[in-house]
Amino acid sequence: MNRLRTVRDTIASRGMALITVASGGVLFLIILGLFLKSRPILASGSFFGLMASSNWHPLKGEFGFLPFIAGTLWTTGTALIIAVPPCILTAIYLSEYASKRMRQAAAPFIDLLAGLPSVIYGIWGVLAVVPLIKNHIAPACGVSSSGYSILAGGIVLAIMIVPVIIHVIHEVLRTIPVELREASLALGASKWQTVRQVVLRKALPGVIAAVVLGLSRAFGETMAVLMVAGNVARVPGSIFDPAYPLPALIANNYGEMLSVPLYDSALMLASLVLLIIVVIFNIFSRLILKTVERRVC
Amino acid sequence: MTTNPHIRADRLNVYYGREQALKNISIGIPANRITAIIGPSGCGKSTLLKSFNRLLETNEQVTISGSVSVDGENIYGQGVEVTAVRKKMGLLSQRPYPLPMSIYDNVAFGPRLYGIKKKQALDELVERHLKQSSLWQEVHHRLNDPASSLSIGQQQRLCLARGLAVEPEIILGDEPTSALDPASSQRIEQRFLELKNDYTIIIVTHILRQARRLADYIIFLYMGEVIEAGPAREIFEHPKEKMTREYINGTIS
Repeated sequence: MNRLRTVRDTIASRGMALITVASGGVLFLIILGLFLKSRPILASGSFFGLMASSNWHPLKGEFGFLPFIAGTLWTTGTALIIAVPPCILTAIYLSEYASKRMRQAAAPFIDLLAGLPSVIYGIWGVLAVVPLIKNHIAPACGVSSSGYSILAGGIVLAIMIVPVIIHVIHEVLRTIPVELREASLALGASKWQTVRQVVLRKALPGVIAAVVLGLSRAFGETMAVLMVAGNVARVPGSIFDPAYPLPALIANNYGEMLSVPLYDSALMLASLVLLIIVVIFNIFSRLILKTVERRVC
Repeated sequence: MTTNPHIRADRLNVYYGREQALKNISIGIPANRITAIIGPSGCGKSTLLKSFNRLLETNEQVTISGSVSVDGENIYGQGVEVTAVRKKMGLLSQRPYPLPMSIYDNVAFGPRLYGIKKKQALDELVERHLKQSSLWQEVHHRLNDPASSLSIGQQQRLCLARGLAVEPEIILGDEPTSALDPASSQRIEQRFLELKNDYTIIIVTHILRQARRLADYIIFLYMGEVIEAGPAREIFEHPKEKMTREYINGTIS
């Protein structure tokens, strides 16, 4: 009887270990697969040469990835700059200032926003954001723009990642003990001083984690950006220029242009590059997180 | 009751939602003495303590009626600035909660709020108050380390130094030794005995022996009501109320 239990225990633990390893292995297989598939294009030129070139003329056999990498970084960066400050303030409001009733009313809305399909954001971007930029924002800044631009992509992306970031920061703030706030208040600090100098400081690692989560989503988001960013394969010079982020490139062309030699291999390399960018940012943010945690907590 | 109390509560009632936590409390706390608030858990000891520096109102469900006067001024009166009330009191909680910054910045936090910016003045303050809480010897060579790198006992003394650095008149301790080992507890108690010459000290404790060791004055609370209050010797040796006697003898807890 006892023996049977030990056997079952062993089977269960081995089984779970296997599943864990397998899910990690999938990532490895994806990377391997993408690498193998992109070998033909890597054979045609050096990796860094391809990354640094801005000539994208597939029919002439020229594949420069710089416009897409730049497009991805520009739209994601714009989205973060737009999204992060209001997210922090909203999360602070909800956790520190809002009444219980207000908090309970706001939470479902934020979670609902997080669950909307991205194509809805894309349509909203085409109908509302693009004309807004074309008719008002760009003229106000003294430039002409079709509206299909980095700014449009950034705004739509920002709106998409806002609920995620607010949600995570709010959760982080809630884990900070009331007694820590009381310690600061008891010293005569005002509520705002307490929030700024104590609560936010304590929450900083969590805030960074929340931003990284938003960042990862923004990097990979395809549909909504593809609909509003303009998709022109040129390195953008300002936020009113169109951009062509990597996911949009892959989604637009895979399965369409595969008669062009090396094109499919180029798209595989684009996927690999996107994956590498996300991994690099994750490693980088982990390093920042470690330093901050050591310094603060 | 003493003739000229430092803090006086008058018909103080506190409710958490509908539940009444403090019932019609009228007491005086003598200046430059150690007052111990004793009583079983959940009797309202901490609530009474927090009503003195208006920390109760951070909870939106709390309602308060009656008054608490410090130096003769009702701290719940209109136009009273809550930060000024709190500046008069240093708080030590059950567990130390160091602020998420360096040892130095923890002590300098209060003084900086009140506009002291010069490094020299801050250095001097930090040193003086760390010495006052007998922590200086252990930390003077690593003031820039995070406060969380200290042991729990050291953290509690840091919190004491942090509270003293705003130069309060009153020290509030909410079971300030309950998370500490015996040696650290003793150090905190020793500090209190020395500090009472300059400060009014109020501690909440459920350790009767600690109350005997430290207190000059006792307030015995039971189910949100003051059963008996008076000089420590009277309460411990000749309690007037049957309930006080039973609590002190350990028949009720």
